[in-house]
Amino acid sequence: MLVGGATCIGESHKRSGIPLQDSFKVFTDPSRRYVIAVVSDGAGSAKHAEVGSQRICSAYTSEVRRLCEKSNAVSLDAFKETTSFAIQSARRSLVDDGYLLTDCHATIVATLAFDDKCFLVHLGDGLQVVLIREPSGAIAACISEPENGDASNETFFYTEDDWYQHLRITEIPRDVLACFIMSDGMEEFVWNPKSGLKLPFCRPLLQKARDAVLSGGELNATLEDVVSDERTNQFTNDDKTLCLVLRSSSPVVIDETGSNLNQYVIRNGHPVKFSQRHETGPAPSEIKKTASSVDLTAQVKVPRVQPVSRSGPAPSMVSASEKLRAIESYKRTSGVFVFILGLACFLIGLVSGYLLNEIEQDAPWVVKSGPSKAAPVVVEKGLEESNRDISVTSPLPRGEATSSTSTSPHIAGSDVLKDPVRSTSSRDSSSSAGPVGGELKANAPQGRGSVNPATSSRLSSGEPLRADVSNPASVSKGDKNDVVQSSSKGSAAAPKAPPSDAPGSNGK
Amino acid sequence: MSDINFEGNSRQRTPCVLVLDCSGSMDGGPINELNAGLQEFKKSLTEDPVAMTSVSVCIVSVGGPSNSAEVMMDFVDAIDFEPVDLRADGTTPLGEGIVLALDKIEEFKIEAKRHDNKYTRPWLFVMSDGEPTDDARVWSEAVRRAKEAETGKKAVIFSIAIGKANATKLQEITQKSVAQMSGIRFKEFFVWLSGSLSKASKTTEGTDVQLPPRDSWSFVSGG
Repeated sequence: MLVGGATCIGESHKRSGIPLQDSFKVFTDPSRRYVIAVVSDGAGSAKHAEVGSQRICSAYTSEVRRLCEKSNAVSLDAFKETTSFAIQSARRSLVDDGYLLTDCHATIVATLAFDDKCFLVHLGDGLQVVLIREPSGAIAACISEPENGDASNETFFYTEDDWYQHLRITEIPRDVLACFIMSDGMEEFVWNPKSGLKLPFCRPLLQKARDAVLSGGELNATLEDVVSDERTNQFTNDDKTLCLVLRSSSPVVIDETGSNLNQYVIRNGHPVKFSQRHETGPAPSEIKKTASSVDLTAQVKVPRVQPVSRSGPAPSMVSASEKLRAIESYKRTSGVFVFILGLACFLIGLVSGYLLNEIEQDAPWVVKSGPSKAAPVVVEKGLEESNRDISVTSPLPRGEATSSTSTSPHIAGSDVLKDPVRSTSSRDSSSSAGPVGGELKANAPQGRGSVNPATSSRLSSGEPLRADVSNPASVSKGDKNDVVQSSSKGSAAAPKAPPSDAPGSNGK
Repeated sequence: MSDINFEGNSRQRTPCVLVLDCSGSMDGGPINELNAGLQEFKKSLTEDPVAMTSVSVCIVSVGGPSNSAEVMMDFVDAIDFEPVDLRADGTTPLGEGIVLALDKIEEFKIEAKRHDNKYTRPWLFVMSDGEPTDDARVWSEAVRRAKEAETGKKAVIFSIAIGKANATKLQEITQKSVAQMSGIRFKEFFVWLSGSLSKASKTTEGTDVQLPPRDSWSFVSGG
């Protein structure tokens, strides 16, 4: 399986001196077991959007790699947890560097593809199209649509408080023939909300990509030609990013008329026939029937539990609403359990103490303090257990070694993405969730490296990739297959405290 | 194999309503400044192919010979927009004009939805010398509607002062700073045509949006 990607700064950004705000990252496992592709679109309305998009690409790639390296068979649950962890990690790194999350709004469209299945991640706009083979031999296009508001330029970001309510994760347990992953700048060329996939775009692209690969060319060069094509500028002045996962051994041949193509949109993890997408509230049986036609395993949204363990995020990381939710979640999941456990232990202690006193009063291991003192200890242990239970579903693992981050790929300009969540987590029990209502804004950010040039895109095509010669720091040692593309301007990613007199600040 | 076809979804629109003050107090320099601003607006549209094909312009005039607020030009695509030569006369029912403009925006949305057309968050430009002559009740209603539209993310509102305007009144209709018409560069707005905005109405607003250096629109707030 191959993966490549390219990005191009939007014309309006170029004219106005605004940096490229899209970022992407692709990675091919050296053993070719899996590929990763992630695209993030920084919101045009956000002051440091390019930083937000870079951080999530880096965090997602490094965390998913870590997951794949420690597990031969990645489960959906593990993937969900890892994805949530990556998002939390990116959010934390932004706050730790002094950014307001609202200044770093960015979306997520990502894939983890194995030979026999793939996982899709989607938060906000952008588009993802997975092509698989149906049992009949026809090709199924499974479309993960953008999530917009009433206005088409309104969407949702991982940097918002309720990010987990808009996170969509889907597993498609089938061989992936091809997968398009893109930011909203490319959306309109690939599909039309009313008519579906645009074959005059997709068919030639698939063919060109395959030809390029078979002739020893680079997939990324093909994609770069596409995203930088002058004809796109008639329709959009936005940044454009496109990644492509391609199974070169299995050509995707779609008829010119699309007669061998069936289209589905993914709704709540279920594939719904494109023609039935406007039907609201389909019966579960109808969904099941539709799903079985392409034999997908539907997966629903992943409402993530907010970190609630004692190793939770720093006060500055979590908003008041998140904390309230965390507290409610904690109460729901652990309160009853702790009460029952404590009561049970108290009774057991009472009874056993009585029996021990009666039977073996002279034995050295008998609890001298008696049952009345044992109970609080057991209750405390119960709390510990309760926290462990919650942590399983929390994106924040507890007490994990921080050294693992040393092998993380460096996204250009974000070499300080040192996984602060994990390092904080390792301190575990001594920390607390902090008071409700912590400030989002933290201290002024520290200096960082530069970023890649906008014009360069990268390919991970199964072969170890070269380091970015223009910015050697962009690919860290040991991560030659890991490629990142982000902002076009060196200054774009350079963290800086939002200057009060900077361009874009209040110009009163 | 045929070449890749780049065909965009050309039916998306950005509704843009201009509320233009043509009252007697604008006579002389201010009305000339406003006319020049309109020409600059047209020029900027022409220079941006995306804006040219996606912005729909509507003009609400305030004052003038009719001495009222009225729709001078209903929504037309930017490519068909031609600035009119405005003349100053009459009173300044600016509040009335703002309410009318917001109503036009809602009409546009309803019509777009009815035809299943996409639209981006609408823009409302209020260009005036800032001396409304509305009844206090009318002006209060206009301020309430404008604030509701802005906080409810129904529209992006820009107040633009002309000449030596009284910015106090213009500031009441938006949380953003009032801009000066002089030195305006409308094309910088067109960055917003494809820039994503937060849908979440409860999201805390960030600091001001990133815009080019030395622009006169750096007050534009994100979100």
